[in-house]
Amino acid sequence: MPFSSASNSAPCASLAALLLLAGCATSGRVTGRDETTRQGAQAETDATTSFSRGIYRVVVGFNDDTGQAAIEYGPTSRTVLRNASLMGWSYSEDRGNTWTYGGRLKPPPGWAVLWGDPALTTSKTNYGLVFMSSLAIPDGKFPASGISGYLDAGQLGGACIARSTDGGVRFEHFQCLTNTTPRNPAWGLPTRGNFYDGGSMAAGPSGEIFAAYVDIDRSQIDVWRSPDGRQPFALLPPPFPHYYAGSHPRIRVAADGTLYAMAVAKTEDVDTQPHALIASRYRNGAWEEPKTILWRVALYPQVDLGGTVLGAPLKLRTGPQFSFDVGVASAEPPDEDNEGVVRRDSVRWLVTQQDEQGWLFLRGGVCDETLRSCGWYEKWTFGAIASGRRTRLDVFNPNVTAFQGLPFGAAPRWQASFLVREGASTTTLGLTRGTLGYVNGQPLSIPVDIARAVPVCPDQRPKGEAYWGDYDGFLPVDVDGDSVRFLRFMTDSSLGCTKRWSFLAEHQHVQAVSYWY
Amino acid sequence: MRSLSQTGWLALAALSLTSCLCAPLERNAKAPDAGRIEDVSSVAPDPALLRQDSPGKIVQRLPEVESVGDCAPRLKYPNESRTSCIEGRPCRGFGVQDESGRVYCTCYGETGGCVEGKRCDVRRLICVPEDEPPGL
Repeated sequence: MPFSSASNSAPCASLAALLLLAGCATSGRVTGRDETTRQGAQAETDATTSFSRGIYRVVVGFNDDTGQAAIEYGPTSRTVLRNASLMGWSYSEDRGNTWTYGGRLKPPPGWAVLWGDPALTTSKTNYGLVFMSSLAIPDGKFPASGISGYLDAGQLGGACIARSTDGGVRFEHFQCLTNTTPRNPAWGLPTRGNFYDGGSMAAGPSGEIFAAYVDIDRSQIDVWRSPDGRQPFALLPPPFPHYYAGSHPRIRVAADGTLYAMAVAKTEDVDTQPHALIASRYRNGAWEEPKTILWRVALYPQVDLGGTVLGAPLKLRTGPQFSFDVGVASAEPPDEDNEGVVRRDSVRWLVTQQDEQGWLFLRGGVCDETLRSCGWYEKWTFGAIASGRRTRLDVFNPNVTAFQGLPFGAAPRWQASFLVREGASTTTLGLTRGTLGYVNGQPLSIPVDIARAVPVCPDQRPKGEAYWGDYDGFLPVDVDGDSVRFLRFMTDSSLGCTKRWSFLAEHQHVQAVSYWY
Repeated sequence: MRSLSQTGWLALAALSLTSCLCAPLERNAKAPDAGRIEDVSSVAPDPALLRQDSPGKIVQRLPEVESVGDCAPRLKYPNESRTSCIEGRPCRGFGVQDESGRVYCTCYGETGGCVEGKRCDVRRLICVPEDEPPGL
């Protein structure tokens, strides 16, 4: 065993076997602890950190369906009325141990509904400036009688960004973003606001704030930029203008200010996975030629747990199935001239794929900072295809986060986390983490469970579209010497699964799973 | 006393578990340290271990043409689907014009659009069963 150590003794191994590797992580409920949030559902998160007036905070945004009159539910129905909002948040002033519910924003003038898909970031030049994004329905697309049943491109038409100047305690609307360009600009007539889905935010070192969405109507990724978090956002040129782009996008900014965007593009493959993970980077005012990272990736796969709860099957829908970050690279090999060989691993990524049995697994890999050269490692593969399991094992909803390191303090980190579904039939999921790391230059990652047997309680949307939160945030929140504490959010149904209606389930709250590494 | 001793034993077990699980196998190392996982490798990663799939081909976007007439299929979920009337024929997808000027129906590269019983899904960019609902 190349990574054994003296302290890894037999008694420890026995204890480990008994207690199944969950001892290093702790889990705390973010919502559902107080009377207000206990009365509704909260799920699907993104998070950031802030520092304002001497107080360090972790801020998490979520789809906040805490009881409101503007959303009416019946066992098989949902009516969304004007002023409905899912744009809620909580914050922690003790690095994720306890949480305060921040509230929920009302739609701003001109907009009828705020419909979630949270994305958050913090200015790198003013740590008290926190930005939070939510999808939105403009007045012009909202019917007077409200919306019954599903929401789709007929109603959603942009996104609204709120800004906090006090580190995430209070938010105010900053700007709503909408693109009215028709599918063919030559048609001339503007739309009433194209359907934005997803949401990803990132901040640059000079104060720039970026927000990205998928424009479903145009099959394009739209990226918006505010130069300093005070001036309004303006739409950048499209990163993938010649492709049909889909999936919630993700964006990140490198330490040198280069913006990276990833999404999924349609491919000519005739098999069941005709999608590829694509990337581009924005430097000196222009996007570079897109790069294909990996072929045959999953786009919004469904996860059939095989089990039933309250008499109904558990089949979950999912959100974005890739994640990446930009951080500190490993040592470079001495011969730097060979074309096509990855020289640096500044960009590390995970993406979900499907094996021949239909089981989901993750591939992990790297790109150099120019994106000219990318590839994946067998030893950064998670799921049945890596372990040789014969009973069903699905691994999905990946997150990658890089901790950049501190001068004279903690060294850089590369962490991954993902959800795991095990067995032929189950009603629970696990949460696992791993380092996207190396031993003597050989890639290696050891999956470590940080939450096991988490009960699942989605609503009952049919055809495998049941909702239990589509994605979650993952970030470093604390440092102690050379140890770094990470928080990974996920949905919490530990209060029981007492109701599963078509568009509503109880209980769904937000929990934060924390570990030091 | 009995419960106290049980508590003490459990605390000791928990401490042992923490020390053996949290510390040894997976620790970042600032300096070269054989046998430990490094987040940032102090030894250049072996490029021979980096794998690349055989490349496919990404569908190239073509200029879209407007739907003309009223022959577009009527679907249960019209806002999540692309339907149109192209060259006088129903299209489960949308019309595009290629470099030669030819106009045809496609569902994001699937020439001819989707077959009967399927719809061209705007989020997945593929043909899905016609009765598959949107999720939002």
